[in-house]
Amino acid sequence: MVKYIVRRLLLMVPVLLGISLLNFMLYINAPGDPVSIMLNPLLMEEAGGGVGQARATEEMIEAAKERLGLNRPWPVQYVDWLTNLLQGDFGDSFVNPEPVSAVIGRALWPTLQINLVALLVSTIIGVGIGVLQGVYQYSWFDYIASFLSFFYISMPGFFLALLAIYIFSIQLNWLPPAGYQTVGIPPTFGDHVRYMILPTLVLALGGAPGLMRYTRTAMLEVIHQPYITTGYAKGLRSRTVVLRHAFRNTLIPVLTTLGSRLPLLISGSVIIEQIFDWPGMGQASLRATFGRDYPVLMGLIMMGSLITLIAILITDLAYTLVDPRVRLD
Amino acid sequence: MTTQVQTEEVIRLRDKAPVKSESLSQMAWRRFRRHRLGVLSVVVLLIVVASAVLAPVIKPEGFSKLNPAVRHQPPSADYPLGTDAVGRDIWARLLYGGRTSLTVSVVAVSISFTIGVTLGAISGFYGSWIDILIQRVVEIVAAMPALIIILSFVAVYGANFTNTMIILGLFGWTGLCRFVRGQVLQIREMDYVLASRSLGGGSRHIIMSHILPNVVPYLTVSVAFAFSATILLETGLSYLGLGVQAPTPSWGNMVGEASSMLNLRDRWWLWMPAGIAITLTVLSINFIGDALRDALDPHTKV
Repeated sequence: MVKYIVRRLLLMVPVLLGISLLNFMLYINAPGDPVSIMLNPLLMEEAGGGVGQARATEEMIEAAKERLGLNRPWPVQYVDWLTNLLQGDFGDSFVNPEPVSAVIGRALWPTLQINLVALLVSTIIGVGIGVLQGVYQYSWFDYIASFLSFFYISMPGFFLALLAIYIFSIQLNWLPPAGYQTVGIPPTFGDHVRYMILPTLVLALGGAPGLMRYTRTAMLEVIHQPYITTGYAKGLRSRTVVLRHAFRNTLIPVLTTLGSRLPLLISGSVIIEQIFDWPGMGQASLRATFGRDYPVLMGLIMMGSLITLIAILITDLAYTLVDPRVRLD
Repeated sequence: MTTQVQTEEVIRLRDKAPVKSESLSQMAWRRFRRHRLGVLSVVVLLIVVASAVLAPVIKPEGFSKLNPAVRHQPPSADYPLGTDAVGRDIWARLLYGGRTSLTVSVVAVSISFTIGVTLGAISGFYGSWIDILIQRVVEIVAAMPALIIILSFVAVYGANFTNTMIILGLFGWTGLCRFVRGQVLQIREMDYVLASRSLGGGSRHIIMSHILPNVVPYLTVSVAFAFSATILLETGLSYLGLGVQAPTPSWGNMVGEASSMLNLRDRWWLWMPAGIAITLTVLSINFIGDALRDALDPHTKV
């Protein structure tokens, strides 16, 4: 087991190196010398507030490049960046004078809040309905649930979000349309929850259909097995048969789906956060995109990739817990 | 003795019920036609594609004719879907927007398809170090958070029509690659491949005439789902203002430009038509993909 984990972790190294290299090449190849454009505000500051100085001069750009080490050949810069990365230093933001880790640290918790709750809700809805669909195959319930799952999977998240705002905030006036908490009053938990509901609901509705379909398929594969018939034949209650004998077999596909969702906990709500003005990772990455804040984007990609690789490993390990027939390596 | 009995049996069966040979795609088509939602979806999709293709015929005056006299008009006989903030006809913009969104998605999926199928076939067929190398590349691309790497490309190379197609194409191929590799791995062990090889068939011949024809029917399912995913990504990017740029309408940027609280509350015709168009299109493609999958799987009843 330990040997297996160590080997898998070692295999991650070349993949992560590849990602970091690709990431860095992208930034080095940015056309139009974005560095000098980006550095302008910084340079202004150094030149004394930039009064009467509309643009940074050539010398200033050169000086700043020299100071930031941007004049060195790119392999040197890459190794430098990588070394810092390994020590947990993502570098400084181009736009605001603060470390990238501060930007990410600030945005992480709000994003985790809505995504964790949404993952939980979508799992309960998805698995619950999927199991019932498997038991009552080709019933009206099955057809309606299937149709709805297709419907929500086909609707773009932003449209679903706008519809939710239109219905629950504008027409019914039940929930605030956007924001993190009411401005101007002392923050309370109840108030914050009211702001969380709509973004979480939209994320959960988008996530449930996939799980539902996988669970249904997995249920259908076992529901006609002889041992299920045996269960009924020896007089077990159908609830016992379904939950104790059939449902357990859906755990593998459910685990796979959940594993593939883990990385989305931090990067899966870009559009939703933008619409609901939620101060999380999605908004941070959008702001970085519009501001061409490459260090922040690179930090987000490295972090997201690492989480994805670890999530895949955890999923594989979880298989052995759920299904004793699965052997590692 | 037994052999002869068997042979007689075969001949008897053959004469009694002449074997009607049916190819995989013929069977799939026969079964697909029985899938009501699938057929309905084909009709809907054809209408959507036709109106996108025929946009210049239906609305020859184009999508950007300004008319300040009719700003923010609700739907009427003249303007079936109303007008926007500068008096442009939403119906015309919807038609041309569909043209944009579908074009971007078709080109992006073609790029993904070319990369994914080529690398997948090579990876599955040749195995050994080529396979390992390609699979590492797949892992690298698949491990990166999709939307954020796409955003980074936009930050570096800028948001426009061409870049949107290229970026979506460059990051959408890993699923197709894995699928094709898996299929090829199975098929290359088949007896008919061995037979072809023993008759002197080269690798190129085996891939093109024996392997790919058996992968393609199943590939249509993957392509359908890749297509719907790409439309959703394109409209999402354009919604954020990071995809197709104004004044060119795309279904995504139409919703994006209209999504202020005021418009949400008072002017549904600005944002609902494009949103419904996306949903309807993606829904019908997903139903077609699902119907194709059922049709290709002999174990499901249709």
